[in-house]
Amino acid sequence: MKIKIKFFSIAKDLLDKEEIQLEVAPLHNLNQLKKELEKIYPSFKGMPGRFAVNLSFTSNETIINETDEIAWIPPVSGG
Amino acid sequence: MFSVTPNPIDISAILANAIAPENGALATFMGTVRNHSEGQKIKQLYYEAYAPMALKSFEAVEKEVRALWKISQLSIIHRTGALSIGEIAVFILATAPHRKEALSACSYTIDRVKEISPIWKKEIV
Repeated sequence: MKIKIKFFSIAKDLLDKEEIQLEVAPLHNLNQLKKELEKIYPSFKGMPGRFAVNLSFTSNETIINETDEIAWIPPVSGG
Repeated sequence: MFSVTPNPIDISAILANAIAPENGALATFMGTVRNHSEGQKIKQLYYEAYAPMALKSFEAVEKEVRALWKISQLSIIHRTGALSIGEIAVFILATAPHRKEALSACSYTIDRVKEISPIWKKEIV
């Protein structure tokens, strides 16, 4: 299935991408997704941060769907 | 009122309609751009936000605040884009019948925004 991932801050700078599209097997969870990303983008390994799905943080066991809005959220520094 | 905006924050407009007869207290916090950070001179700060998620996080903070204190209004406004020294990056406003709730809500809110809201600053030197 095709999924999209948004990147921000240092992740966006490092990958030089605001968003990518990825083909992944169904029943993929966020842990597996991170491993996929690390295969494609070796520099992503050890990248601090966590996934947000549909505008909320969620556990890495969450299964992702094609309609989900997925984003990688590096450590925040607002305010 | 929650907002993530590239536009300068108009405090007077916000304050103008924040004071209400039933409230005895209005507390605000403004985070402004300093000219240095960790011993390094700063020219500007660039703020980036994942706006829809940031707004959702503001709503979550409000829910937490209302569970802790009886407040009337809570406003969170955060700037994005390049900000020069002295500009207001974030503005928090809390109104309540009494000062303790307003001040506590205001302080709690900025701490939580800094903790959970998907907003990032980049120092331009």
